[in-house]
Amino acid sequence: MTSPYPGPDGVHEELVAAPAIPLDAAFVHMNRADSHGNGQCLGPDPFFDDVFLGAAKKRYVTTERLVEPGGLGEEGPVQSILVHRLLVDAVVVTPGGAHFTSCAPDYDRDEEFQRAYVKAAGDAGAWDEFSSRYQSLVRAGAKGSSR
Amino acid sequence: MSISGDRDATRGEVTAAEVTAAEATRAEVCAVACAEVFRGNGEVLASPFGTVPSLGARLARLTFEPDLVLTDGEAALMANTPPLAAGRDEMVVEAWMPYRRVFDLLWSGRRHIMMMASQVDRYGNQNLSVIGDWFRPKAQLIGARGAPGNSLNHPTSYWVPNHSKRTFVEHVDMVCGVGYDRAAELGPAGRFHDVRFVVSNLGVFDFDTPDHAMRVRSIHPGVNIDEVVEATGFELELAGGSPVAIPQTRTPTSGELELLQVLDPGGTRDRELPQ
Repeated sequence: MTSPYPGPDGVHEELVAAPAIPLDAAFVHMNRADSHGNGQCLGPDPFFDDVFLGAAKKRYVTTERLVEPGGLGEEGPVQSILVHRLLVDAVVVTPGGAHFTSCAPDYDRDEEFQRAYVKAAGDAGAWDEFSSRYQSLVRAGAKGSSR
Repeated sequence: MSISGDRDATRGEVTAAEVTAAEATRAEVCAVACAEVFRGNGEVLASPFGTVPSLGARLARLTFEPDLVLTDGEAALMANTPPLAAGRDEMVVEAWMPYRRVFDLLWSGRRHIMMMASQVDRYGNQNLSVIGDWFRPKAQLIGARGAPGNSLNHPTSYWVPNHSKRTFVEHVDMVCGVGYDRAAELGPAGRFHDVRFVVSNLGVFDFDTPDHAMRVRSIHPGVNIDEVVEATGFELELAGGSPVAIPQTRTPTSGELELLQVLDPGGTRDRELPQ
């Protein structure tokens, strides 16, 4: 598109504009959340989580631990409360929900599990064993409390 | 804000005696060549990839470029310059730099990245994504990563530890980092393009020629120019215009060798080069 503003040389520069990508749904995992839908990132890097929530039609926060509304301020500084409830439709309590990746400071990356996953992914027989062992555990252990 | 105060006119001069080539390994010569890539940069984020460039950036910061900014590899900037293998408890945080803010910074131009290149060509196009045809690749590599945006927004240099006709090619199989010929086609949109140096295990290369074709800037001690020409898949321009005029890459000072030993006591630098 042509810039509506002239540059220093008076020329209206050609710029690249990209349309927004409308997401059907976004799931982001937060260290803490409250039942109103506010979410808190206590780790070092929030990446693009809040931006995904802003772009999606249905917005879900999963969390390590649910706290009472108004209680997030006791868990960390106000800047760590990355997600406000205007960005969220539902909260799901999923402890370990980021495993086997890192969810610092609650847990680090599980390197051993990651190696087992990679090994299983390269072998159909090993994959069945891996899948039945862990995914059935996940299904059995899944518990959600939805707002 | 600059931490070094007024510029010392003598800063950056090599004051200690250069050691003889026999005392420095090729990797150490390359680490110093990578440090030299950052000379004069001042206060920019130095983003080195690979062991030897990482050593080079740290070495530059500890000697002639104290204003360089380095990350901890995750989401912070480091106030100190610890060894390569340092754990988190040895890193001192000076500021927050999550992934997202790197983009804001790189668009400002205040960054100099030293990426690796699986292929690099005559005009500095770089490939680290795919070998062979895109639709039937011989090898799938790590992807274009940030190379297009890096090379078009801020200073970009490359490290190639295995100089050969397979890495220095006439045309790359896929353009990731943008070279001078393609940047010129972009017109005003290419005005921030700034590919500076390629350091390989054989020499140092730049694009200071009328059409920005790659030029041999210096060859490492113990390397013959014929060896470089033979290992390159296109015609190289020569600094000084003739093979006899090509300078030798400077060797590390004794102080630099000591710093390299502190930064990399396990000698991982030597393992990045072909044996």
